[in-house]
Amino acid sequence: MANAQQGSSDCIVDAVGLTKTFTDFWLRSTAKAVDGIDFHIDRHEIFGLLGPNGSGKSTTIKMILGLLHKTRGRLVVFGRDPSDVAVKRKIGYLPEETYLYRFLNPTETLDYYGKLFGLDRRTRNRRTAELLEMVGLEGVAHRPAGEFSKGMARRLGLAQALVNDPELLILDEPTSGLDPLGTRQVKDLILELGRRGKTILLTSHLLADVEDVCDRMVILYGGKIRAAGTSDELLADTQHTLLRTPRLSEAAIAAVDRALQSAQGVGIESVESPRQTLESLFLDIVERARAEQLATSGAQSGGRIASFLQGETQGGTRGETQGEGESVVADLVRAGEEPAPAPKSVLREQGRVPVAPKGADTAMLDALVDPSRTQGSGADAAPKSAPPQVRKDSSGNQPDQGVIDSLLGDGDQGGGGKKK
Amino acid sequence: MSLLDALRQSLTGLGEKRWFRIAVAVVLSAVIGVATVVTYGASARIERFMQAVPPVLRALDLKANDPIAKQLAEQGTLDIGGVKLGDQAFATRFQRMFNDAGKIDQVSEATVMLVRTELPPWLPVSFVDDSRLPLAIGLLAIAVVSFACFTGLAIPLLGVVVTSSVLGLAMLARDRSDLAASLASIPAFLLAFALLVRALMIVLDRATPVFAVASGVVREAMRLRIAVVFAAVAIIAIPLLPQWIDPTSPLRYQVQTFLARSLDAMYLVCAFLTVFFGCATVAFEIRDRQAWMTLTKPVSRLSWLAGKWLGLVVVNAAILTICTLAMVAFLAQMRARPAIDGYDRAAVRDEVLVARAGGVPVYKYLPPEEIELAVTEAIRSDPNARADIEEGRRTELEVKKSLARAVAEEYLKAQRSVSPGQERAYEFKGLDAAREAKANLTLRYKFYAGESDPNAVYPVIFILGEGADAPWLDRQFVAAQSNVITVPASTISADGTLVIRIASVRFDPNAPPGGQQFYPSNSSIGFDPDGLELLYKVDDFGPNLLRAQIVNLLKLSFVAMLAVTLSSFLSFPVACLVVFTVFSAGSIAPYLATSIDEYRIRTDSGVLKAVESVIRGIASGTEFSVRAFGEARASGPLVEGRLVPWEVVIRTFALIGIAWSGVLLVLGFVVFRRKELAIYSGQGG
Repeated sequence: MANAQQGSSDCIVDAVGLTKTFTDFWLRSTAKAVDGIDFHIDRHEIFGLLGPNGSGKSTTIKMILGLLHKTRGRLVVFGRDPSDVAVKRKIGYLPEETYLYRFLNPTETLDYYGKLFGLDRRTRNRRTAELLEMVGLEGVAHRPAGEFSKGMARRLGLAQALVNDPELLILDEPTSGLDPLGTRQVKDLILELGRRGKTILLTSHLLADVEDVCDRMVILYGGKIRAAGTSDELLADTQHTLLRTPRLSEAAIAAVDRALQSAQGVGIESVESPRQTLESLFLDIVERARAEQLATSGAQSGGRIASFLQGETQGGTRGETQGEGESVVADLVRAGEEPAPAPKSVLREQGRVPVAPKGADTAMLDALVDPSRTQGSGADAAPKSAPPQVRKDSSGNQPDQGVIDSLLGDGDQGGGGKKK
Repeated sequence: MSLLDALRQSLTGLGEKRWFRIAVAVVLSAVIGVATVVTYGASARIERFMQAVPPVLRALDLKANDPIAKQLAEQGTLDIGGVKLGDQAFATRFQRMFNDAGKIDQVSEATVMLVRTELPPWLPVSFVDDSRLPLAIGLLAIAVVSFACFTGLAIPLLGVVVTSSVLGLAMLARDRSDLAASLASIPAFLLAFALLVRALMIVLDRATPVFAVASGVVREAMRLRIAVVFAAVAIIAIPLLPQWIDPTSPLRYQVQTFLARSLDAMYLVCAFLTVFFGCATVAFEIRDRQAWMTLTKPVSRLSWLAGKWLGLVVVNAAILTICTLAMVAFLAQMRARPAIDGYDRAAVRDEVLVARAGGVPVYKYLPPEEIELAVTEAIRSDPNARADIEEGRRTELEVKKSLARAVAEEYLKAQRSVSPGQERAYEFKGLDAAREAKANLTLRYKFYAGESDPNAVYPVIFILGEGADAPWLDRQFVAAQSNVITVPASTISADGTLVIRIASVRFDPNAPPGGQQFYPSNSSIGFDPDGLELLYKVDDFGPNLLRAQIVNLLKLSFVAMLAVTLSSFLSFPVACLVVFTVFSAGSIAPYLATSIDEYRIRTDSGVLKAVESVIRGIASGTEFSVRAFGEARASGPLVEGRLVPWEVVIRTFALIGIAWSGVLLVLGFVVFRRKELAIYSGQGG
């Protein structure tokens, strides 16, 4: 599977038997973080590395970036050794935590990284302005980054990863620390960049992040690849059929059940009324607040995608209409009013547990979606990754305003918020 | 928002307005322009008098009843261009200046006395020496003001002007003009430092990794107040140093003390900054993982290390430059202090603020065959030496080498000794430049005599030349103390050789005419290899200072390289400790070498001898690695008025700046290249 396209010019990253063993001072092995994995990332692909904490995602990324040296195996990036400086000219990297210079402001930060790529002053200035607008930091362009909240730092980190208009964008937990708005924006940005020809390597232990945006993914556990394939291959539930109708009466449901019994000998397993997602509600409230021009001292919502990133659109390759991403902000605003989920999100909206394909490590997948296995309750616990369960009709419930207030009040709280 | 915050915000906003910046630049430039024109006018006027008076004085003839000469002798004044120079109070002194022939002997001194009455009290003496100096300073000040305004420092500039004025006027009101200059200058020098850093940042504004990393280091040093605090220590200390120097001591020592303390202060401040900040900027950046962000860009690890090093060197250069300017400014103030006498003032000019080359006498060396004969004789007559060889304590070669060294040294030592009543000639060669320059030379001597009683004085006579009619000087000296005599350039022969004879003889100035004037002294005179030295001016103080500071900067750049490379693989405290140890060892390298030579474990134990060898090996290796650093001395010679030649600068550059720093960089790169910046963050074990 993974090695099908090895050696082709469209292969950006190629790993064969990649192994990383950490040793102590006396060179005794302390941990095998990555254990003989094979994978490849093709040009224009959004590739996901999925796995729980400590599964080897970040170690793999750090080997690709040359921050760690492989112990065994083969790893080439753009056909070269990862330590080759020339390779890094084509890469943008957002680490799992944003390690900024506290004494530089966003303008100086982007200018600094622009200089490292050898960009001339005019280009640096233009890209800096566009990126700051894109990530919504133009209002704090001259505040030292040391004063930033985690979410703001994350936005700046994302901007610096794009300053060189990279061919390969490596995002390590990109939505970590972002509020729902920022999370949505980042995901849309990833999709948009992917549509415009960028190759993106994304790691996350948040299933929804990967599911929403990735073309292909591998699932790591204990340093080994446990499953690999496209989202559809991995997530398709071929055992169930979903019908969506206007609200039905109990009698009508009973009639349908009877009809099904008589036609195929199966009945309705569960009945639920879909409700609006917390993310949709949140985005809607933020949009309304913005329309009322309420002030915020932090990051603004992002602006248009930076013009230098608007390369050739890979028309409709990901099942979305061309031109839809011309303005991420416009999409975001519309998203708040009329959510336009991707076709793949039907299952997600119903909160169903994705059924693993034949041969997948279902126990491991269960562990992945078990909230008790995720780290922290703030940044990592986005609403979409709440433990899925078959819900009964809850249309009469009011939204939990406390959660909304919490989310609105502090962008650092991530997507999870606190439940009363 | 507090009132202070509101004020700060409004001032910041004002400082960013274009019209405001232009207005401040124009107003301050106009003020500086007026001050420059007035100062230049005053100094040019004094300079004209200084040129016009000497010819008039030389033409005076009191014997011939010259009315102008009479006016000078009786009224103490002289009319030049319609201006009456001098004062009645000087009349007596002018009368004494006329010699028996009715001519003035001391034209220069008389000129200064006459012109001094027209010298405005506010005009610095250095402006009189060179009237173009105020123009140069004025133009520089206008350029600095313009640069400050157009780089967004108009408000700080105004703040400095106001603060300096308030401090200066407050001290003047208390009649502390010396302290007024010191305090008023501190804010100005701090601003100058900020401006210089800004200018250097413009120079570093290149889209290459090395320059980008370097500018990041400079920014870090400034933003985190690290460099500012270190620089402030030196910038505040130097202007205040004169306040702690005893004004009653000889001016020469005051100036030398100020020079030595200022140079030490700025060098040590830079060294400490380099050690701590140099280790911090690398070690903490790796620890806090900002290095991940940089090194995942197209930046090689070598470029990263080089950029860090360059940034440190730039910060050091900025601090050294501003501190040097402060030192030079207050050196002028120190020179204007009262001297004990004319010789004292002249000593500042001729022996301190000058660059002098020096030479020791040419000694004769014992021919090898005579040394061999002496060694053979010594072994024959020394039963201990023979026993050492026969019993295997030392090899014959070792004994011979030791004796040969002793014989050669004894032969030289004999040449550095003068018996009572005797004289010995010492020949100095290669003085053609001094002869052509017609500049007086200085003979520095540090003698021992008899028991070298520190409470006694010993007589000596110097005869300047070989002939019977050679001029001579009698002196008394305190043993083991340095003394100097002035030697006229005319005593140098045509081939650039000067012979000075030293006699251990006492001169009786009160001897009756025709009676015995010279007596053998009671003690023989001796001195160390460097105890007799002839010095002569070969350059001015300014260029010498420049060379000395280049040497100091090169040494600091080596420390910076050490800090950068070591902290790339050691933790901050360990790196600091190692760098500081190397810096200290380098600073005392010459003493370290002597200590190693003297180091002996007096034992027959083979184990202890082995231990001694190991210790000696480690110490010798350390000494070898820091020898070049220790030998690159610049501040000491500068304070002593000695030349810091370009050869020393080039040698320091080659050895420390290129060779040792290069070795460090390569070693650091080799280690750092394999270093894994990331660590394992998983849960495996």
